[in-house]
Amino acid sequence: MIVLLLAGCAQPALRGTGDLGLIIERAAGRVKLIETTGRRELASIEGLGDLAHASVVYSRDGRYAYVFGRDGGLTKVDLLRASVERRVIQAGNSIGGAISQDGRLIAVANYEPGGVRIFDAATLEPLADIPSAYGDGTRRAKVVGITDASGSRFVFSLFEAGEIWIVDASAPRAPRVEKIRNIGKQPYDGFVTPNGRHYIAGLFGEDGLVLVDLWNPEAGARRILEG
Amino acid sequence: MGDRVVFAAVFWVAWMVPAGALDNPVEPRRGELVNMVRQDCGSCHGLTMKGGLGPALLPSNISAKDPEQLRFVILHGRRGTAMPPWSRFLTDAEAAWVVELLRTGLPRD
Ligand code: HEC
Repeated sequence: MIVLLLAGCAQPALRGTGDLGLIIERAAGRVKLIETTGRRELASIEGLGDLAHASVVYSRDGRYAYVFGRDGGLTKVDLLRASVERRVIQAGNSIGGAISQDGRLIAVANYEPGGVRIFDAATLEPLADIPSAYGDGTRRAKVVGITDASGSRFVFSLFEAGEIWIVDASAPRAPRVEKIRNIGKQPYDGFVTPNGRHYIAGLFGEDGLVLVDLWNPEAGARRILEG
Repeated sequence: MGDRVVFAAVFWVAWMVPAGALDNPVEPRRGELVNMVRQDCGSCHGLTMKGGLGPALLPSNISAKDPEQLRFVILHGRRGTAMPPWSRFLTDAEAAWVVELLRTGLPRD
């Protein structure tokens, strides 16, 4: 009876995950777990490597956060337990990532070596490696502006190459890549519009934005908002 | 040929420098410069200078390079790349000081 009671006390209070989130402490290389209903800090989590540049995506059910660190680290954080569940170093220098809309795949955009790598969201097992080779194929561009799109697709831009690639990862070990070339000079970031239809990339090497209609990617990239 | 370009460039920089700009920066300007290097340069070269969109600028990456050329790149950027010119924000002496800062490594917080 006493044992049961003690065990009962040790159980943390039940809670939902919908208001949990992480804050990256870039210089300290730590993350803070927060809840946004009471606006409280719940825990501080270490061991995520170099977070000088980092970004986060959340699992569909809100239980896990995936942190993409500067040092190429991909860390899966359990928000309910406030702990690191899994961690892999998957590149030398990465910029961010995305989670597929069904929640099964994590895609990471890398600067060094340039490309995108796809992982199983549950286990972080590597599934595919997509080098961002361009031109004569000997150089690899830095990958920027990665985002999820409908189906198991990911869209991203190649900085040095001036290309936008759409990857269909419905067969994650054999992803299909569609390349849109000559989209403009040095795309440096991108996003999908809230209705999920258009991918927009900002250009660094010239003034302007380019837009790809994900319902009709064959039409290529169109210039919008001339600088 | 390359030498001549660099020579001409350095000469041009020296000629551009306003009076007084050759003085070494003193506090509180030094603190401002450290902050600028971390935050502004760091947006491309990484908060800890380990590289990002721009190459790593740790002592091991740049100590073998000519400080004059590094200073020139900082002041005037590198055409055709993402490296922008900073001559509107840094004097010649401040750029030289930033090169020294990078060569010795940024102080810990
Ligand atoms: C918008 C991005 C960006 C910012 C901001 C930026 N840089 Fe750069 N920087 C670059 C890139 C890209 C290169 C490499 C250019 C090339 O390909 O030659 C570079 C190159 C350099 C180099 C030459 C390195 C070498 O090995 O030759 C130095 C030095 C440098 N940057 C210093 C700075 C400093 C100091 C600042 C801040 C005052 C700064 N940069 C801000 C993008 C940036």
